[in-house]
Amino acid sequence: MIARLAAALLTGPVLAAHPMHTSVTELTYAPSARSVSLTIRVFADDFIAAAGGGDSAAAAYIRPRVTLTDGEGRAIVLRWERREPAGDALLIRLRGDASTGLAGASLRHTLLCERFADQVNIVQVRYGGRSASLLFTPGDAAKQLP
Amino acid sequence: MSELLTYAQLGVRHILDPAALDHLLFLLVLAAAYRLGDWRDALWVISAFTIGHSITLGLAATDTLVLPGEAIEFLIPLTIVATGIENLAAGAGGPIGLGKVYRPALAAVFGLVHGAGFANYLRGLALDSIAIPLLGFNLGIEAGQLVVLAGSALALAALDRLTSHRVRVVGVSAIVLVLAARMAVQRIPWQQ
Repeated sequence: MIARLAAALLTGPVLAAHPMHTSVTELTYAPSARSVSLTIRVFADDFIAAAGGGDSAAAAYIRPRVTLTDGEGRAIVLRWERREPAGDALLIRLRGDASTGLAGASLRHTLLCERFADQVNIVQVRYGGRSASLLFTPGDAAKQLP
Repeated sequence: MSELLTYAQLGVRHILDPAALDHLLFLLVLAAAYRLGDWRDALWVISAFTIGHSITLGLAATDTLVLPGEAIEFLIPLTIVATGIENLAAGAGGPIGLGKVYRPALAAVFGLVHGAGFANYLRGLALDSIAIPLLGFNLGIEAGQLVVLAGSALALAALDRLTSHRVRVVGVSAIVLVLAARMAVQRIPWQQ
């Protein structure tokens, strides 16, 4: 038994470093334009491994994973705007028309959750003088905006 | 959910994450030297560790202190190895009295290293404003730490029913030491 334990300790897997599977999204609303903007900061290597390198593939990957519905349950279509490199991360910008505002709106954010069991997606919501955070982990359903 | 609560939740998840094995192992090896009845001694050590990691977490997360991430990730398992060696020396009849005096100081110094590791994670999020996330994350780390320590204390007390305290201290410390040593070898900065 001691020999087996020793073998397991000496040859078993040991994580080399702390993995960091976290994205941070900023969600803002412009009342004058009645549009909602999302900026997703995600690690480039993880995202490209999941979504591929092209914009259309990335947009197709994000579409079912980041969804927003208005207070009456209608989908707010989030259009791909662009992506920008930011160090080892990517800034992905999405925009949608929210003519009825965000009162009662719900967001679901499962980016990379299918790949990493410890994925955490933080959403910082700022609109109408309100500021709050939402935290999404694998298996989470849509959450109502504050 | 408030921003504070969100980041507190993130702190709890960070320390309880099985992938964050280094922090879990450190807390386990720190707790391994004690019996339930030694809670006062343990409290001093845990408090010292908490003060240490809170200092560097605050300084590094606010960019007041810039520390090389790879070196910190390498030093973290070394703190586990050193604590394990100290446990083994004490468990083998070594200078336990010396350990009692210096253990809180050692835990505070090692806390500085772990705090820098926590800060690396928080800085990786590249947040615009850091004050509330930092406070929430640190509170979450403390809460998670208490959960780990309570679980460790119960598990170690259960082991004490099966074997002698000395065998338990040496056994647990030796296992953690080997794991941490392998972790340190894998994290040697100049190999990467």
